[in-house]
Amino acid sequence: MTAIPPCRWCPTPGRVLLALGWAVFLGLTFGPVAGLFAEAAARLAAGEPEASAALVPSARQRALLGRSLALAGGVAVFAGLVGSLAALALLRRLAHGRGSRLLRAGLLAALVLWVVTPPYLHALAGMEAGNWMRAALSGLGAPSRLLPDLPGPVSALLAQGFALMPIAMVAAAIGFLSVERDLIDAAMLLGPGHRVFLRIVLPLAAPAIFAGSGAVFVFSLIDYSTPSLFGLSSYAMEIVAEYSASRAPWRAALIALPLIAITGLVIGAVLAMLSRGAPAHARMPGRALRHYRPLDALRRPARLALWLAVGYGAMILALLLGSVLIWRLLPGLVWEVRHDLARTLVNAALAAGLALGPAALVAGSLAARPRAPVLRALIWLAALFPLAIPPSLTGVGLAALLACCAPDALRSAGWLPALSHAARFLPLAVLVIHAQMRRVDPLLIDAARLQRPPGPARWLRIELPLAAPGLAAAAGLVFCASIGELDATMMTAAPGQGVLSMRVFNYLHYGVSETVAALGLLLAAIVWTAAALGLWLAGRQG
Amino acid sequence: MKRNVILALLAIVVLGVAVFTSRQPGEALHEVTIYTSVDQVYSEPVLRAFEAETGIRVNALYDAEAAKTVGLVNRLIAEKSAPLADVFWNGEFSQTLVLKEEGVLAAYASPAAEGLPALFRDPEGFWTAFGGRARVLFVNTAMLPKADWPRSIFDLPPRAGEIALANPLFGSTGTHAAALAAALGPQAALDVFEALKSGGVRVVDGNAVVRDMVAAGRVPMGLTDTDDACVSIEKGAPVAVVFLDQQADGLGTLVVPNTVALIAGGPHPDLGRMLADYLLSTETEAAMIESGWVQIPSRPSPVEGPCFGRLDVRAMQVSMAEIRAAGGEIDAAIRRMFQD
Repeated sequence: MTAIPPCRWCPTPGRVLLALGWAVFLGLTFGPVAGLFAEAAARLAAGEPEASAALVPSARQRALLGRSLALAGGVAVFAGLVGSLAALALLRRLAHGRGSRLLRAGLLAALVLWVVTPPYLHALAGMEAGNWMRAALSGLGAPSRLLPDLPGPVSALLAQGFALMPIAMVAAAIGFLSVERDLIDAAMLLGPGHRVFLRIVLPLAAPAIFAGSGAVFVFSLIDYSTPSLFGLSSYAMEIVAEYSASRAPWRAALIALPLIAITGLVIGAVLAMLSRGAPAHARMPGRALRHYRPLDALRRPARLALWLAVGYGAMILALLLGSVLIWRLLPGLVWEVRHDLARTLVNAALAAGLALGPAALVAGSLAARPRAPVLRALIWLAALFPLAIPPSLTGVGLAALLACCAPDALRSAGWLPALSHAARFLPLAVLVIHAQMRRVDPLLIDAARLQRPPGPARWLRIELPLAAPGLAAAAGLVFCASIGELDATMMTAAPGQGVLSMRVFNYLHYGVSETVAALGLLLAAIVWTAAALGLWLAGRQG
Repeated sequence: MKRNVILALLAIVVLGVAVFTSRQPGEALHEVTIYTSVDQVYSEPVLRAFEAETGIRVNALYDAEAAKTVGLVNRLIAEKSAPLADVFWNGEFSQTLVLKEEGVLAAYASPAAEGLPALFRDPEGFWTAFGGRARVLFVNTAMLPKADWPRSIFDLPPRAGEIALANPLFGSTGTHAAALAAALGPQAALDVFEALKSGGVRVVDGNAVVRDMVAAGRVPMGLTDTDDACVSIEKGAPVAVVFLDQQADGLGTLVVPNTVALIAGGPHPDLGRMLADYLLSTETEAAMIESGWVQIPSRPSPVEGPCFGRLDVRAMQVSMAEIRAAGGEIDAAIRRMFQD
């Protein structure tokens, strides 16, 4: 009797679930903008001159794009350089045993709390720092012109650079940790430490460093809130401005095309660089640190960068926590904005809940058996390309979709921003769950699977507990990111359903006041509490 | 332990939902929806006061899209067939006129509009204007002695290199260009802007940037609005404002008033009218003067603003409809001049 070969395309429950996961993922992330591009394509196909004209950026838009690229490039270089040097100094200290387990946990917590703090709160802290220094100077009798206002582009660069620096720092640390110790030991026999660092370590760590800086570049390029606070127009803002001026959402999509093309290319380049993969030992920080071989290179600039990062982190904490007036204002303010606060929490929880299922399924498919390299690259690109879509365009797409097709009850619902948040942060959730899945020893899964046949019981007893830390981390990340999200929220919030981030941003346009600082503290406190809870749970899970 | 954490998280979410859906004790179930482009920091206290006085809940949607965007107007046009809003309260007038042209507004002659100048009322009753801000020359007093301050819009082109200006494609600079076109004729207005541009005027990203550049001494003077200027004055910066063309036969200064309009087919027309009346009342205007949003009262007012005290400004004598029409005439030329 001949064995029947397994049907490759038959719909098994697993495959149906996977297809459903991808459908929800693609629907949520690409859905809001797909309609806009479809209409734009139809108009282009019909030969409408207005559509063809919108496809070519005007001189002003080209200048704006150039400025936005320069800002994002500056932010990426600043965060990449300072972050990499700080990571180098940090790893050297930890490798020399000058960091207890508690210190290491504290550092990790600080980085997580830092990165989940919304960029405009960094801008707030920067503005407040300037005010404090000016007040201190005038207290000393010095003229205030000794500390002039920084030009908008420099302020925006510093605010975004510091806000996004932990991403570059963590990426650089992973890069340095991934260099095999044996390789360095062998090279050290042939030359001094600094040459080995420049010739061996740096080129091997470069893909991770570039990946970190690439991520910083993308996040900076698609953010309009921070530049706008410093009076700087950005190309991401131009998308909303175009929609506002023309009242044609499809024009906003065409205007966004150059930005999407650039961010898409950067994401593709980052993926290509990372496709080599990190060595297995680099996946477990504790084990990687034991393998790490510090070198005596760039000692002074690295130490300077580390102190700069520590000093900045301390400044943020001091500014947000140090004002007596803010603490006095806070109780009354919390009561006053309780509805905004509740909506913020509910929206964040809903966004986390919405993102979790599809993110888990997509991450599972990424971690599944090896495929053809091209197919694998395409799947990765599909999973991460939504990060290239400017949130302002996602917001415009959702707003257009709701205005055209949604019933009143939906358009006035308070939870609408949760949809846009899930759309924005789904790829990040996928990345986190996928990273957790890679940490699980496949032998452990195979051994456990032998104990139970496929089915709900196996999923519940084996697969879910193994994936749980990743799921919890992803939900936490989406929750924290959603609390501070602004760009898409503005386009989707229903009347009378405002959230805290909108209030903080609106108030920030009038500069820093105790009220806005107290609101900022409240927002930061929620995000920090959620992140700290997640870290504590992660610590308990080992 | 883990179960306790999950229960605690669930409790937080349930509590959130409870607060989310809660109403104040005694709060009526009546509600009215307003879209407003007036900054939340100024408009929210007024709407809260209305809630406290009437017991009617106000669902407000604030325009939070930073500067120069008209998101709420787009939303109102998109929702025209099934509006959610009852009232539109705009911090300026040109977009309100756009809504009238688009058929989004309903006619309503508010009794609270009594005493307002004729220019502040739409002849067909689709909108009513009240108190506004003025377009001013903002000067750095440490860089420019009073004797050197320009006094007329026509004094500016020869000194274009000393001046900063927000992009005339958007916002109140665009309205200013349109108002000049209405008052002087399109070509004369375009000549002023062409001379400013060729003279090296610094075109920046918004009125707030103009304000900050002048206050920081990076440029001696710039054109901005009184509400922006007020921020620097309150901070004690070495700055002053000049209301241009105030001589007896002068052109006058552009005053940009607030506008209030009812939305056609809004879900709560009676409550919408009640809210519009409240916004157009002298009490609301006084509150807005005190808060610093309104600098130029539209009716005699006993209160003084925080920055300029009681102002007596000679305003440009052109109607909002004329400004809107003139804006359409020069729009393409201004776009060519400053965009490409």
